[in-house]
Amino acid sequence: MSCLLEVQNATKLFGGLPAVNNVSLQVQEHEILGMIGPNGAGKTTLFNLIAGYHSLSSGEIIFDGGNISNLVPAKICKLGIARTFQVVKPFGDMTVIENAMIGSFCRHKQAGEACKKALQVLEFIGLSHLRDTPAKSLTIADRKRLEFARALATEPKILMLDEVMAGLRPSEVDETLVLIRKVRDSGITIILVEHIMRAIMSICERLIVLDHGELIAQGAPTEIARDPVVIEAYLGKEASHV
Amino acid sequence: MSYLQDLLTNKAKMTVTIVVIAACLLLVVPALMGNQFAQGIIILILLFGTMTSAWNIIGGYGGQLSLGHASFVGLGAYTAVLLAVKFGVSPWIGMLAAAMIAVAAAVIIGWPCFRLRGPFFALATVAVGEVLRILAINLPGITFGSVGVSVNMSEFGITHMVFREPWAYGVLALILLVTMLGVTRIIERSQLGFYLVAIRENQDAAASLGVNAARIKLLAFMISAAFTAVAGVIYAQYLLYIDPQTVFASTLSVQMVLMAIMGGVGTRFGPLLGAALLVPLDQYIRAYFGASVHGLHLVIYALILILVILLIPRGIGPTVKDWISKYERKAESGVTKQSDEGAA
Amino acid sequence: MDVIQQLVINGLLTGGVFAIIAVGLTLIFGVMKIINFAHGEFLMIAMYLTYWINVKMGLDPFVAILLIFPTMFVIGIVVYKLTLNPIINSREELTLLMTVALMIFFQNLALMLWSADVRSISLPYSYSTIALGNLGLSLTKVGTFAVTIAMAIGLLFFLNQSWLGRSIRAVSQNRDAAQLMGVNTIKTYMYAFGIGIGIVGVAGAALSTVYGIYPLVGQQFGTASFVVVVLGGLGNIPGAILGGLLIGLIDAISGFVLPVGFNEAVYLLIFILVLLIKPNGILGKATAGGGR
Repeated sequence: MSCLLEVQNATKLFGGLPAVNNVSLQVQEHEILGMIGPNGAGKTTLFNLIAGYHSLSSGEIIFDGGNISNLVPAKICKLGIARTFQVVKPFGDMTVIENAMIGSFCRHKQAGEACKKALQVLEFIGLSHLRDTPAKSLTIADRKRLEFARALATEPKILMLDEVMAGLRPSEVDETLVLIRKVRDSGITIILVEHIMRAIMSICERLIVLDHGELIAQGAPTEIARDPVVIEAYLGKEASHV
Repeated sequence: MSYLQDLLTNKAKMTVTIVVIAACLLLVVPALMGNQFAQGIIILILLFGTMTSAWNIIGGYGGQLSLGHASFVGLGAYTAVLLAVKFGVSPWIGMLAAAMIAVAAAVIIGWPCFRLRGPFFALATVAVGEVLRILAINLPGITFGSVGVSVNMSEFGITHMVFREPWAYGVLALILLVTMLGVTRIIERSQLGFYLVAIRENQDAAASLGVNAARIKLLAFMISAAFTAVAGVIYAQYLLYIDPQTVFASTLSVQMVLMAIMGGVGTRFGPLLGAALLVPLDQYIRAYFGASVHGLHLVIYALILILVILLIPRGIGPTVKDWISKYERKAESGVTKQSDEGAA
Repeated sequence: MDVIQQLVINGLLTGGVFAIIAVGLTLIFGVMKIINFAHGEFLMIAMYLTYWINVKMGLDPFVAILLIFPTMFVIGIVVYKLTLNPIINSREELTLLMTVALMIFFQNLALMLWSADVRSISLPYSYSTIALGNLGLSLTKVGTFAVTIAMAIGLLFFLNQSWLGRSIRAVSQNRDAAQLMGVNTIKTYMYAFGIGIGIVGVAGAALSTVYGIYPLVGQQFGTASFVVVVLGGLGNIPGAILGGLLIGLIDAISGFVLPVGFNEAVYLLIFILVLLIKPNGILGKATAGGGR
């Protein structure tokens, strides 16, 4: 497996305050990488730096051999990194299939081709029975699935999921986990930011842990769970000595 | 065939169709019988219908409020007329030049504005509309100033786009309108159309899916500008005379917006519907009140706009469609209720 | 030399009026993110009101300000409740359009009711001047400028010291956070709009001592105030004041240098330039761009 995405010494300052401080990491092709850390750790900022929503204060991000450090989100998507939003943003007045087509139009200029691809993706995700429903009438779980489908329709190399399981019932979380594995098995690399521990532990092959904008640990989930530095970050000094 | 069957069973659709046909006859019959006033109204409906449909591409589908769209009408009109009057160029060539100039203007306005979020585009279009009007008045060497300029009427006939019979302008306007509606349909079903609506609904989400918002909006604006300018040329040839007050008027810009909003923004036929409603209203008000009460017809316009925004913000077209489908659903559930009772 | 000094002073005096009109506009934008296209029309209404008060009650316009501010404040709130409050949560385009509709409505209503005749208020001191060095400054213009300063100070005081003022600032900086702090945003919007209209009303009352009153006077000043607001940065009150003074100067100079009719074109062109080069305005906040 080769390194698909590399973050080199990324720093992002907001008015002098480092939200992300000198973070370096590598993402291997076909892996499922989890980004975790306490609230305010800088996970979302790092996520947004990769996806192009913030510009780097210093450092670089290399994707598939090219420097994507300060490209705009639309360009980054075209290059092959797709993302979902934590607070879902469906195109309310459009139907489910039309929403998905906005994604598939990324690689297919003709409406007919885009529609076919969109339908394929909807079937893969399990939303094709709702194809003509307006997005604004969907339940929250289905909206999250639509968000997923849309991003997938852009045929990305890396799919970045921002707390895609927040607010879902346990059965829905399980369904999402199955879906994520399916997506990875079809050849896509996954980066996820998540708070739901059992989800992270079961699906991520590797974790990186952020705290106060710095990378404090990385490794397999079982190692991370035992790492005193990580425990301290989440629960405080007391807990790590237990 | 199934539409007709459907029509006969759906009372709501039936009512709407009858009203529409009656309204059309009210206009078309007198026009066919030679009534000049009615003919004029039809021609204006066709021309304004095109202008507002063109506005709809950027304003309705794109959701970018252009409040100075008359700029393109004026640019089109003045380009063609001045070329004909000063250099004897045929208005057909003038039409081409008009479209090109309008597209250039769209790029100049749109390129800086579409990179920004916020009300800048609306403000910029108002500013440009005003600047053009002021320049047209204050550069009489080029534009003949507020006195205006008459269309080159040295010869009649199709090559000069000057006709003795007004209905000939109507035919031109109709061809243009049909073309505009056809282009709208093509856009609606293409990547451009989908992307425009996506940008309108949620620009951030669209960007995350690879949509270059600034470029898409600019493309839509260019298409809109071109068609508006061409309509402006035909308008000028029909009026036989143009001046800054007519073709660069801010009220013209507002009318284009009002018609689209009233009929249904972001729909293919909405703007035309709006034009068909407002043009006759406008003409009648001018005819009866015009000279005596200054400003009345604009007060009425403003009130209509306010009421439309408050009560039927999606426009008449979509609201009526909703009403029809609500009726259909009620009728369907009524039928199933009956068959349930029958079975029980 | 004298001519230039005279121009500068006159420009600054007029600029004060532009500034105060723009402050009302930028306040409304900062809080509600609405560009009030009808802003100039409220100026016009205030001018007519001042005129009638002067004619019927013999009240001096500068004194009438005490009546005009509350009246315009109430008018602002009523208009807001009837036309803007119902659609405040709809698309931005609709609220923008509504203000455009209001602009057309008021302009033409005034035309219908009061005709296009220009009215003016004549005061015993309309032609008096104050001496400043070897320049003569029109007393009414100075009075107008003084009102501007007083208004600006009063507003800054209000925004910093009163609860309503601070909640207005809070809502314009971060609506959600303000709500979480217990600020009723709906009411805040309403009061902010009312205050913005009250301010432009005061400008109108003062302006009526130096400028003619006619239905389209609002359009003239309204257009200039949009330029000022963008120049100073949308939502930026000090920027609006600075921008107003600057535009006043530019207006005076271009009126002197260029042939008649072009000065409006000048500041519209400035507007377009600002959009191209520094859309955040000379003092603006960094929010004009996209997601970054």
